[in-house]
Amino acid sequence: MLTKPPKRPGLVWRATLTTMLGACATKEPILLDLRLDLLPAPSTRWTTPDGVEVSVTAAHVGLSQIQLSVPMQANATSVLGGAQATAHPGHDLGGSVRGELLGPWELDLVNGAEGIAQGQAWEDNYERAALSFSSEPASHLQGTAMVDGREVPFDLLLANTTTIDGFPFPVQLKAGASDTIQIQADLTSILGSIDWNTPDANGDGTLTTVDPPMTETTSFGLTSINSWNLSLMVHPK
Amino acid sequence: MALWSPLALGADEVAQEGTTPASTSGAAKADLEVLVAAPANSASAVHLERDRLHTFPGRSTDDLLRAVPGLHTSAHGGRGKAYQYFLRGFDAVHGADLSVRLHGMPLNEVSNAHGHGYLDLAFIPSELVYRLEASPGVHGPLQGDFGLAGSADLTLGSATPGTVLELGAGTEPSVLLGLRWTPETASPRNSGTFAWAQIDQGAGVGEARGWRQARAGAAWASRPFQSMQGNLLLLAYQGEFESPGVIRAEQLESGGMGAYEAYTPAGFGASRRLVLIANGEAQLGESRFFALLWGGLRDLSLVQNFTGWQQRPILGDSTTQISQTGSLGARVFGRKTYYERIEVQVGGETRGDWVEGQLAWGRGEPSPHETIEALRTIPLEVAGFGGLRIVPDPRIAAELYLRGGLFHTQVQRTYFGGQELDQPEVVVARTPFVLPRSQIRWQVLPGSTLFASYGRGLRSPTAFAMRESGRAPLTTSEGADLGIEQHLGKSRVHMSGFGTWISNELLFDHTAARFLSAGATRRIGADAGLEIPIGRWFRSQADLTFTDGRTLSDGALLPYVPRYLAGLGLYYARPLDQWRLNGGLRGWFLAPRPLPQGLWSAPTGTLDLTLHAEGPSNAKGHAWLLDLDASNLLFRPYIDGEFVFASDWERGGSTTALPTRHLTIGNPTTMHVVVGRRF
Repeated sequence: MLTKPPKRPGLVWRATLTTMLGACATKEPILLDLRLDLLPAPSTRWTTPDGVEVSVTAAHVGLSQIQLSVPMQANATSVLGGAQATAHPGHDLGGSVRGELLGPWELDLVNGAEGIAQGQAWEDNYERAALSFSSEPASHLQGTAMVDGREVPFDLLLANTTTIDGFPFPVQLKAGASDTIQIQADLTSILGSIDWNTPDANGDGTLTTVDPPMTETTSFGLTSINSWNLSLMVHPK
Repeated sequence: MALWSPLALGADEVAQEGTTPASTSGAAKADLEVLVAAPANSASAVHLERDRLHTFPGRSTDDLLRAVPGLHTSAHGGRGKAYQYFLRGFDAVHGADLSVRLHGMPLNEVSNAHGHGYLDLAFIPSELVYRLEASPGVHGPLQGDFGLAGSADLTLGSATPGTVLELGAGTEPSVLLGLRWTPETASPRNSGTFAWAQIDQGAGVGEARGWRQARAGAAWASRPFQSMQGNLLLLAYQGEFESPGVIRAEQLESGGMGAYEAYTPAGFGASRRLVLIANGEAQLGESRFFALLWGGLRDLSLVQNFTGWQQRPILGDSTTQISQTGSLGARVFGRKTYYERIEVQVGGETRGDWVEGQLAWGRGEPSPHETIEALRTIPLEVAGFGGLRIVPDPRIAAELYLRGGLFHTQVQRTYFGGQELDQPEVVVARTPFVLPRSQIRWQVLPGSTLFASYGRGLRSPTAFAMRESGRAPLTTSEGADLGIEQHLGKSRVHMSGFGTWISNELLFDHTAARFLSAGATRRIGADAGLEIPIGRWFRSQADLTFTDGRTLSDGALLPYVPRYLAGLGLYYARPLDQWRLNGGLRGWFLAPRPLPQGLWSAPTGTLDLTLHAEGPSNAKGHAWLLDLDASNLLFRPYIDGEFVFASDWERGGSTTALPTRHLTIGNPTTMHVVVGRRF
């Protein structure tokens, strides 16, 4: 059995073909390496408009992946050929996702971390991103809230698998640079939907996701597009 | 079997095309034993008889289609599943845009669960293909559904009397056992009666490439009267095959996988087919009548996995597709010549199918809870056609045809989107169509002929796309072709420019279960070919096709469309003492073509060889036969197909959605030898 793999067209091949056949450019986008850095949350202690002083001591969020997408193509090339083959892929463009970082990871929102993940993305002009939360590891937020002089500890554990789609990410990725995706969470937004006067339903002295409606309000904040900032840091090589 | 009158264009010209010489006498016109070629409708048209086909390398009927300029096929690495076809800027997938007929019977399968127009030629023994007539583009009144990119007609036959017992072996390893009978009355002009049976089994090179096929059939040709002829053809086929699927390109390049390895679980399938074709024709005065009646039973099941665990991380993405079809069709038409210069043609055609189709997750017999979609459909096509062929001057022929009709499709869907429907969903769609076609053929100088044609092509909608009653949208194309054919002695040069425009590329989004209007597209290009004899025994042939396919809205290149396809062949035929030797060495080269995501495919190609020898007959009339086929004489794997999509073969964890390049690997370097004894 022959196992020598077919070779990609090299420079000589390309030059020869271009000369022989003309106008047959084979310039291709390159698959780039991406790094993911987590920036520390800008504030871990703040006062809400209602006068509640919130202090976050630990905030860990589970993310399963980040996907980067180019604009959807509406012309024939986006789906051409797929019409007649019901059975297998490979006759269409394969979707608009052109970059991704695959987890899962546990993000320490308070302290941040560098180089927490590696991913890949094709050279392209990107439009949006999608953040997917994971249940393993789950998200865990801890701290206290001073409500009318009364200290209310909170310990919120969420196994949320929601995806924030359509996250604006208008960046251009191209070869010749080292690209780092920076992600940062806004804890004031993540916890901004919580009513700190929520009764401690189970009487354990701590606001948890067992106490309704803490799961809903915390989930809403955690998966709000406003709670996250995604940016690109380009380091020329 | 297609028998044609050359009308006023003359037999000299026909003979120049390398076909069986014809007589132009009035008596010969009425003699149905005189086989003459249909006047070519395009400079790129192909008309190959058995003597040429026999020298064309390839071990399947699909391989013979490579003789059509600009037609590229991809076998996806296995034997038994339908090929993928590319022609004139169309990714015809598994046959959606390439219409192929056998003895007039349409072979494209309507609403097949694997792909609309599924064109499985594995049931046709390539060694019995006696005639191949193919035309890129849209021509004439007989080209019907699925003929957007082109059409081909196959005729089976056996012209050498005797009973042949064949035993073969290949290096995969593989074995072949065949028995063929041809009556003593057989001749090149009377090749329509024969019978055969063949068993072919192989392990394939590498992984998941095994196959097992059995074919049998019989054909009977009868001429009860001098001016009447009838043919009957019965074919039966059963095949089981493995299908290696794709390999992620980066794994092949990094050495993580060998070229002929396959992911686990790989695909497999089973295919059964029974076909009965009856046709006849009669000459009554200046009129000639043709009648065709055909029927078929078909059963196809495919299990495959192209994406690993990307869509279903726990259970895997294997799917099963099942199509069970019963088909019945008929065609009648007549031609009558008036004043020796005008030929009027009128006819009609109908086809009805009964299709049970099912798509399901899993491998093997699907359980109800795994069914994704299941339907029963009865598509019916009724068409009428007519037109004129006018020959104002012996050198000029102008043709004008109109084909019109109706698709009536009834769909009863019981599963959709993975859910069993509370009530079967019944859809009834009726869609009329009108297809004007015209062409001019002008012999400007002796041996030099100009061709110009316009034709509207048609692709019917698949039942899997029909969710609403009413008029189902059709895909129609407007195509034009301008070419020239020049004979210089025994050499032939041809060149064509072509264009196809589709104003509204209708596509079906299977995820959303709705039609998408994907805008206008156009495909333009040119092909050129050259055929030169070398000495007495050799003949060389070369062709080159360029196609540029783009969307009209933004000029984007259509993905997967081959831009440059070249073929080069050297063929040999000679008697040597009492031996008859012939063969061919042919290579093809496919230049980089655009893929999705701005990627380009790698250049690819290969070289194949076929040799045949027939020894002298002894006193009893017995003779030895030897066939040798060698595939891929470049002695290295070549890329057969490239696709861009997301797959994930690492079970567990997060699944990647990043589209990447996937490859199918073409034929390995193999050799097959068949030894036969003619009794």
